[in-house]
Amino acid sequence: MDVSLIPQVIANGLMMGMSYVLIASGLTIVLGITRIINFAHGEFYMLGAFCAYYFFQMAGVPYLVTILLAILAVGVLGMGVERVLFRPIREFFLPSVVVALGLAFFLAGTAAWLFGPEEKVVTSPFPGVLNALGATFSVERLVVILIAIVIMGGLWYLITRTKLGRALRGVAQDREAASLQGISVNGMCNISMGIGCGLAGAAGVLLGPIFIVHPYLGALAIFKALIVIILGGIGSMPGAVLGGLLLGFIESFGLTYLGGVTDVLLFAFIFVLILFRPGGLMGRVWVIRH
Amino acid sequence: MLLELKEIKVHYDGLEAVKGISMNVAEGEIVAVLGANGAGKSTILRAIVGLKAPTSGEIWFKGERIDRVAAQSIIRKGIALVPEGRKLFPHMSVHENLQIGAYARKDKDIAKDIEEMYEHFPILRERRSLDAESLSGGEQQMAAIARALMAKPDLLLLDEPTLGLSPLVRAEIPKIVRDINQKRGVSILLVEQNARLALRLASRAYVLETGTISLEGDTETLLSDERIKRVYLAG
Amino acid sequence: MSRRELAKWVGLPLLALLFLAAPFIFNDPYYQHLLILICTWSILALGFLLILSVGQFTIGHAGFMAIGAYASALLTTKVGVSFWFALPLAAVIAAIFGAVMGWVMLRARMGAFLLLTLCFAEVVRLTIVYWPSLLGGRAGFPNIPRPDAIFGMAFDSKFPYYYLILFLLAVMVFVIYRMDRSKFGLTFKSIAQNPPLAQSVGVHLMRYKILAFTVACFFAGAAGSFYAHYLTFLSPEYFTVWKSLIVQMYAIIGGIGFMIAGPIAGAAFLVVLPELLRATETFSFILYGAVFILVIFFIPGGLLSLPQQVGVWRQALRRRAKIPGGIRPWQYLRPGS
Repeated sequence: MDVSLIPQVIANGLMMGMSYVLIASGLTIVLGITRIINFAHGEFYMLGAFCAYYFFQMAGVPYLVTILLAILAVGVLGMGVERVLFRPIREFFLPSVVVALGLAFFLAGTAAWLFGPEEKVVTSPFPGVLNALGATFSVERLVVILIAIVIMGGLWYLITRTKLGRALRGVAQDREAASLQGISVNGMCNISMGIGCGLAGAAGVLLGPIFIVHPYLGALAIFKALIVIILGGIGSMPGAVLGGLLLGFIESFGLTYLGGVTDVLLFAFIFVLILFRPGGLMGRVWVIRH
Repeated sequence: MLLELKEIKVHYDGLEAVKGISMNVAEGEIVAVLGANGAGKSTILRAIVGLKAPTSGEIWFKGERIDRVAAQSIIRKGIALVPEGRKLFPHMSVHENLQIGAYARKDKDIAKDIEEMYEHFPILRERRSLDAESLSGGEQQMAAIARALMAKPDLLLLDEPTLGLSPLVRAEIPKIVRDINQKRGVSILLVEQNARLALRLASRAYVLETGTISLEGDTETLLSDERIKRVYLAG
Repeated sequence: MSRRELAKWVGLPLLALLFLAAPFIFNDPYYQHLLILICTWSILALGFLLILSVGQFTIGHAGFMAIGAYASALLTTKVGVSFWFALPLAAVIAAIFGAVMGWVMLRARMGAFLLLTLCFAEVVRLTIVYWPSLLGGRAGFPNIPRPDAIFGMAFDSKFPYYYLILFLLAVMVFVIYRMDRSKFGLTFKSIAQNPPLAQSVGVHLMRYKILAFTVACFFAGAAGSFYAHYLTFLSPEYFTVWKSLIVQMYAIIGGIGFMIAGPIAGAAFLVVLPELLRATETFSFILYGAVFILVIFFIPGGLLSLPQQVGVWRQALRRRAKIPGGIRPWQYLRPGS
């Protein structure tokens, strides 16, 4: 075991972890409030990555503005999708799976058709490196960690401290009681999809320059996000954070020191976890907790 | 009349649960609805608040027809329901439950009103930062009533407020209900299985049997009615 | 003769004849390949629907197919068993895995079960990926022998493969038909529609669920074994969760109200559709997505409910009413039930 790698491994784990947190918290919000497993969530992340390519790379829009644009564009698209496709079948499990999956296929295919199936490279907005603790960190990754923390902080404030956040949690916990308080369940489902997809869009812009951008990016992203929310507890915000960071560190340490077996062990662990704690490490099924 | 139901019918899965009921609540009144399990009591309340659309009939509130108004808009008209089983938000603190009760309000007095609720129900102040699910049944009932009052309703619907409470706590409910009615001027429609308690509180009552009203009138008259004595007050 | 009897005595034999004659009608190796795929995926989709009918939603059925496929590949290449022993053996191995995993997993509620099957399928797939010395890893498992000739029929064209998989499919259809028609089928339906009620009248819920799951896994294993020897090559990429999901869409698009015909019709439709439209890979993605969404919104009972759905539309038109939702067999299935 090479100890000198540890700072690097930690930084990597944190970077991967925070990006998982961003993607998974969006998925978990949508799941907690609309109760739909949005299999197309990864495609919204993919669209965010293409925002990075077209706005930042091609049009030269500043990086931070690109992030805001992506949140807005992908979020609004998500709200439209919720209104047209998800609302009519929200109460039914099976059709919601089929429609979400259909949407994932449709968006991935359409992106491949419009943007071309080939891989695209986004140049790093912060190309430098930082030497500290006897290791080298890329500035870009540190910036990504930072921005992700800021976004998650904002989300945490929104969910726990504002009237809108209370209304969202209310709908997640008891729809009937929420509507009796004057909260529009349809409205909250719509907003949750906007927030969730906006987060996916932001994650896409942040990770676009680090990885490669292509239209079939979504399948892996939704898969990882599902693992994260299973680990943390479905519909639980702190669970998404814990699960995301955990997965980031497990992968980072595992791949450096153990190799591919990590993945097998991870899934075996999750299997046992679901059996004995169906609610995940934190939280309860279908609940957004403060 | 504050609230008026005209020939309301409600169907569940093709079965008629409420078979053409007319009733009313005047301003400042406490009205009780009695009846056994499955008589359709809760269904009437659900129809009033818009959780279950009546198949026919009309519901009028403050001179406005409300039987096609969505549940989320009812509270803005001035009707609040304390549902059966309390239905607090289980993973929110008591304080947040009270805040969310005032969701439909636009004024700035919400913090002051929460403070007033704490004055009225001191136990809630002690429990204010606890999750609602960790409260005892009686505390939950008070929190649910306080949450409903946070909306400043003109009419409060209470669905089985004593259900599942210990006898000691149950004894407190009439005082609370009477207080709300007299000090706040809120009219109350009370659904209750415990006829003795309900008849002591209300000025008028309706007796429901399998979806129809079998008896109605002043509580004094009802209390002396032989059938009521035999069926609802015995034992 | 009533319509029902007409369908039974004329329609079914005609349909059977069509299936038997299909490779002669489409006498082209590529079309025959598609026919073989339709039958293979039908077996998986039927298994999915069988499990759904006891109220559980699996998204990891391809994992059991992988077990059958790799077991059969190992048995024939490393142990030297003939394909004709390896196929039933592989099916039994998959069924044993199914029985054990079913015993463990079926206790979970629908949401958790879905995730458990996902994890199980991934453990299987990743084990293959990270055990290259035995299972070939990411590079794949090459040189799996073709089946030995049987009844003087050598496996050198698509014909014998087609009749073999058709035979497996027919056996599965027969088993499901018998299960559906027996006391069993009634029990299954009552489990799916009202678990607490079914339990309260004394149905041994778990036993039925495990049996359904085991039968589904047995045939998934058999199909896997067939697939291995048909392609003579295996890769873990054939058995991803996405594969499972797509196969399950076959059953839902065909119509989950049709225990047997639904999955087969769905598989046939969705395998053939991109070919008919000469769709590129990109375009098939868009096509599948659009079909999934459109079917749920406009023919919610699945393709086979189209005749009934048309009736619903016509009635609505005649009454100038808003078009109603139509036939929705899935409304009985909710997460958590």
